[in-house]
Amino acid sequence: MLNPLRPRDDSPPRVPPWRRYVAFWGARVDADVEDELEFHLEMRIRDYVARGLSETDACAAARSRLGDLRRARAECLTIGHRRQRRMTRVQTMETLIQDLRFALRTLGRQTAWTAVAILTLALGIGANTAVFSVVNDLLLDPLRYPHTDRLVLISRRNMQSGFQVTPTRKLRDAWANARSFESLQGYQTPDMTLTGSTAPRALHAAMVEPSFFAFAGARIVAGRAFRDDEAKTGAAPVAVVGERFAREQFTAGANALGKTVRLDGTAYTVIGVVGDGIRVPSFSTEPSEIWLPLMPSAPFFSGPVIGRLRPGVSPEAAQRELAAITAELAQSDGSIKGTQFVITVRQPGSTGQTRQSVLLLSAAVALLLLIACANVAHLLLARGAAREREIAIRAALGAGRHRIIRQLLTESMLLAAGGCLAGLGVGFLSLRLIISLRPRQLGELVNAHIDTRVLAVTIVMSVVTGVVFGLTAAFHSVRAGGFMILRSSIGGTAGKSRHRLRSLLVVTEMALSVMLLIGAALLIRTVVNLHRMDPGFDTTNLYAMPVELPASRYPKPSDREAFAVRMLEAARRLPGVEEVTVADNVPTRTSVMIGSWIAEGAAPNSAPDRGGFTTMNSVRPEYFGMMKMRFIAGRSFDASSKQRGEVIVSQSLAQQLWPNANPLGRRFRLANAAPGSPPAPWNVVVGVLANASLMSLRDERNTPAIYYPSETGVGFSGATLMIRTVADHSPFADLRRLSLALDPNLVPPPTLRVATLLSDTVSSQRFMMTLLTAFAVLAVCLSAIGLYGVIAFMVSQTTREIGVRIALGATRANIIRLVMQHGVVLAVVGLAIGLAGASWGMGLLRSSLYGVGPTDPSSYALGAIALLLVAAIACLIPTRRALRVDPVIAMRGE
Amino acid sequence: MTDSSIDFLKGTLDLMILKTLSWAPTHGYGIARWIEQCTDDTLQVEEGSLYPALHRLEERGLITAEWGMTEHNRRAKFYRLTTAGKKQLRTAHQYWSRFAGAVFKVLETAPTAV
Repeated sequence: MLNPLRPRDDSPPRVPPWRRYVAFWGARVDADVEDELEFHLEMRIRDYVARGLSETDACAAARSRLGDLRRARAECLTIGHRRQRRMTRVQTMETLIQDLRFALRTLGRQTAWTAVAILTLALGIGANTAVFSVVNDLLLDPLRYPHTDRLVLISRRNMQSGFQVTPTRKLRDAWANARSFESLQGYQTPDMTLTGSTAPRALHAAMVEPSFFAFAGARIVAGRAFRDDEAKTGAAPVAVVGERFAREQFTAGANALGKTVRLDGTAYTVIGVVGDGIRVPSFSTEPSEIWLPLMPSAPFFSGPVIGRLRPGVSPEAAQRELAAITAELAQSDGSIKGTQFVITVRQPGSTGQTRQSVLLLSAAVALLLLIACANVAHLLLARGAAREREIAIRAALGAGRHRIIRQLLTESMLLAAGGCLAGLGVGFLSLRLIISLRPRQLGELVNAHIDTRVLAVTIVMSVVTGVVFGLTAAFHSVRAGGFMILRSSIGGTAGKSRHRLRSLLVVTEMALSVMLLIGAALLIRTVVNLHRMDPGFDTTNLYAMPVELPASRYPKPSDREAFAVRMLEAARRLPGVEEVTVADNVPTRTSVMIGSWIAEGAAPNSAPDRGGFTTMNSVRPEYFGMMKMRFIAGRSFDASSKQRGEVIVSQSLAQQLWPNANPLGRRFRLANAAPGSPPAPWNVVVGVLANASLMSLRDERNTPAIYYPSETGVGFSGATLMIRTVADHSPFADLRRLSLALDPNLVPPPTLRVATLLSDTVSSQRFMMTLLTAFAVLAVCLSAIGLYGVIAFMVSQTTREIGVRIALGATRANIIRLVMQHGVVLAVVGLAIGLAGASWGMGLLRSSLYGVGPTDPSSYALGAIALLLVAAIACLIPTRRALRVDPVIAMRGE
Repeated sequence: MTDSSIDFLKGTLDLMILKTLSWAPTHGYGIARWIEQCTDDTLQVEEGSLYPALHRLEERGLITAEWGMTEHNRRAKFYRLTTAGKKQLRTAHQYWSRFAGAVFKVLETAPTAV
């Protein structure tokens, strides 16, 4: 029959009839519309023929009557497709709801099982959340300024010593013209003394350029930021205060405006309040509380210059431009040593040691998550065995493989969601714990918190986790159990293949655990080594009280000297004090001089321009005896040491200056005085001290040290009272009273235990050790549970076999061997892989270790023994069950 | 295209489809023929509007469709009124009666001298 619809150009390509069966909904919409219209045409033609038209005429008439059907067809198709989409959506949603409801019911029925699974996941996810918060805070976005990706820190590094030197004001002003930067910000973070209505206290201040708040994207809560004219010499002193500071001092932010704050004796008018949480990169652990305009006269000394690159400019290009500007300036200005320093432009974020420590922790905690995943997969597989019949029945009732996998996956996703929620809780608590354990060097950790980025990472982590362990177990269940015949007992190939997978998981867990254990052991040994070290002086009952003497109250050196004398006299009268002295500073908080020394008689340029640093202290003659430091040669100071320019040096400095000669009586001085200025005075060596840990327990005690004689022990900005008490006498209250009696207007000085100060210098090692040990213990516990599960499952599977063996006269030893054999094999294989992995991976730890190499055999042995011990315990419980098998019951069962 | 057809007022086609289907389930052509016969071919249903209207009604859940066989043993898509469709028909029927009555009153009332 002629088909009048076909010849038209606009008709869609004809869909072959079979196509509509390909997809459930798919091609049917198009074909149906076509069919329906075709039917209409046929009927119309049939009508015309019935009225007496010839077939050809009828076709023509029908076609002309129908007219152009393009629009109608398109409209019908649109409606059809829309309906189809909606129906698919509804169907998907329904399936999802059905799956969810079923999963909830299944999980709800097995409360204990679900709780264990969720707890395992929560531990893994929580630990990762906490560590990622740390990574986020320390490495990814430490400042939280806008356009972080273009933010750079600019510093100068001395090529020889590697010591970072802050750019000077002159340089910063020259750099201001650099085209690579949108903006450059110099700043300073001085500690100031707040006086006024309450007791004086120390305050973290920041001096910034007027454009800083806009640069940092700071939120001005009340008032305004600085104007350019307020950062000029002679301008009235103004300040912007932090929100918390405003609340504490003036009860509310808005109240602070127009008030005055006295800092170091100067009254500053508050012109604005800035939201908390804004910081500048600095060594200080606490965020700044008050912000002052940076005066043109102020030098920079507290940190690098921070800048924002123009879009598309690389840090390297910026670095080249700055180097060129600096070199040009150095030609006309002798004070800028262009060649001695390397300018570095780098992205903010911790580098070096911190970075490595944090990344290492991330790696460790990721291993922990892997172990947690493996354990949940165990749990799912174990349950899969029990659910085999349920799945087989559902398959028999017509549930497709995809449908069953989807159902099982829904369950794992639900578990992962539970793990995610609980993990966030665990993460929050662990983060609090990590923050409370933070080492002094990672003070900024205080600001770490779970923000949206951490949240996103946690959720993604949970989803990936859920999919990974869920799919593993789901595919396995479907392959192994679902599509086999309904069996009455488990066993055969399905059981074996599941068993193989579980064994593989246990081996993996064991290997990862042993790596964590060895890492923990290495760090424990490091910390023990560090604490065993002799610092070179006696810290027993030794206390220090550093007193800041602000220039506003003690303008003349003689004022400070008088104070030091009074302090010494008063301290001598304190009860329970054995020895007392006053010195400029206390070990670990020493002054540092950067520069090089030159020995008398050496050619002027023979001293290598190390530009290194020397710790420096001004001490009274009794200092060395009081600290119980050992003289290698010479003697301590006497009353006239100062006039004679005598100094005492450390062995390391003496060796550096006179490698093969007796240093006593020899003279040396600072080499790099500015050109044109008079040379530095000579120092005469009267004593050489054994090396001591003056900066940190980790510095190998070879930092050069120089001691100047002082009658009062006072330094440039204060003095430190050092006392050694009789055993078990706490001097804290006495010293507090003493400082109040001496000057009630001083910021109350802290009393420090010198032993604590020293051990604080290795707190980051202790921190790493604590966390890694915690992770290792968790990991071992989780893998022990995994191993236990496998062995217990094996025992329950082979109860009949064991029964037969016992009936045939197997001894207890035979049964123990039968059961333990498997566990031991798994543990040993895991151990071997773990040891190999550790010998490869522990190199990463090298820079965190002290006194122990990354391949330290005893740490490896310790890790191995701990693991085997735990594995043995995990196997013991199922073994005991195997021994109690009653052959009669075992063989009758099933 | 037929010039003898009267343009449908908006919604009238839907109403007539529903009414037609209230007698018995039928296919698109059956609906068109029924309307044409009822009105003695005064109203000629345009296929270009009929089928989109049918599909829209189906989407709105007022009618359902299924494939069946005609008396000539030809596969065709049969439409049937749903419960929602019956309800809609009642509402629309009342509305149209009142509307048409009102229009007639205007058309047939001449002003009277007061």
